[in-house]
Amino acid sequence: MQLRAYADASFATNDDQSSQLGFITLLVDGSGRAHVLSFSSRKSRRVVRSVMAGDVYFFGAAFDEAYMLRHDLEQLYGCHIPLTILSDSKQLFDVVTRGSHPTEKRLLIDVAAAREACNRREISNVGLVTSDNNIADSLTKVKPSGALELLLATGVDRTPVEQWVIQPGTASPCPTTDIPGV
Amino acid sequence: MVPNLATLRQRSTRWLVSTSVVLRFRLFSHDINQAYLQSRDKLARTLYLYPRHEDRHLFDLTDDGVLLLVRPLYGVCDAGDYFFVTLQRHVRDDILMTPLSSDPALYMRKGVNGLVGLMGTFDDDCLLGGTDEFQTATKTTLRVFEAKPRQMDEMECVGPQVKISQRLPRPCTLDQTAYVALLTLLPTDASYERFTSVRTAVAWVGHTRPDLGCAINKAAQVSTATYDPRHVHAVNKAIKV
Repeated sequence: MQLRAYADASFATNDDQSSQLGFITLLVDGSGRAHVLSFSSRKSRRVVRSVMAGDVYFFGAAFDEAYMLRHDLEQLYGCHIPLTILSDSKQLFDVVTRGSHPTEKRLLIDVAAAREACNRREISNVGLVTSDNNIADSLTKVKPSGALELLLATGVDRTPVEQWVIQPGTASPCPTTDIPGV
Repeated sequence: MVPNLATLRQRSTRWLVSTSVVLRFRLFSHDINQAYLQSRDKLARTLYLYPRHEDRHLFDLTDDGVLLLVRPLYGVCDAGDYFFVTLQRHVRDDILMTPLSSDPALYMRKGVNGLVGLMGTFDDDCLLGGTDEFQTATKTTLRVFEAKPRQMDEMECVGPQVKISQRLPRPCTLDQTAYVALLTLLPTDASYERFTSVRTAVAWVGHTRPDLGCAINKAAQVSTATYDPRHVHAVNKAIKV
């Protein structure tokens, strides 16, 4: 069992040129059967000046939500549940996982927070997916890619991941129950 | 950040229902009558009540007399908070459940072999799922508070209709189909007031439809200044899906 969070931002697409941000968290079992735990679609509360700023801002929001959910899930089931965050921004992926620095200071803070979460193993893995496969895409655009609809129709999340930041496992993951999911 | 909400979050409802299905819990609900009047604490602030002229004889009051309110009543803006505290104390001390950190209105109870029950409170409504032992333990609520009889397996929980079948493997549905059937399309020349009323109605469906999340949020961003027919089209499109 693992917790998977998808984050996405769509830059300056609203009427007032603000950005629309979205994330969705799923509880996924070993075979990919998924249950939607929470989702959010909202307009950016602060002005983001670049595509990446939006992405990293909501990467942080998705992490905050997922971290809290995981804490409670772990309490409920009494075992470790790994958390994976997936995003379709290559730039964000590079900046979080490698050492490059953005110039905007506010952005730097968001990036530092994301990086710290990775380094402290609060996030078990970060993955890069293509925009078409990003489930959170539907939460930021009116004309979605269909990944969310597919998930809702099938109840299965088998999104191919382009690139992982593979980190060695911290503890053995929670065993999957053989009881059919919802 | 978790705001200290006295009500159950939507995601917690889904969580409670799905966990109950996986762990083969039975779902049931409690509805407390006239909940706000059953708060245990006295009002912390001083509040006077000026009764209507025709009600004065009930209190033996003269025309210039006022009443001192000791406990919350309906209509007192913080009455909900008082009841939440009363209910929370009851759930913690009498049923021995612990609230979860992401939602203070969602409680869990653990037994020797792990989780035995979950409970979510939404003002006077409680949604519960648990083992036989948990079902017996929570009967205390019905004794402590004056409440309607317990409802099993089928209930409405602030929006979604929850239904769970008794036949194994106990398929369960959480839907708003009855509500969606009531939604109507907007005419293109609808007034702004009509638009806001329909967009609120559509937003309620968002509890069970993540795929409409974006359309709902975008409709919420429309103001009198920016309102135009294309927004009506967008909302109608969401209703049709």
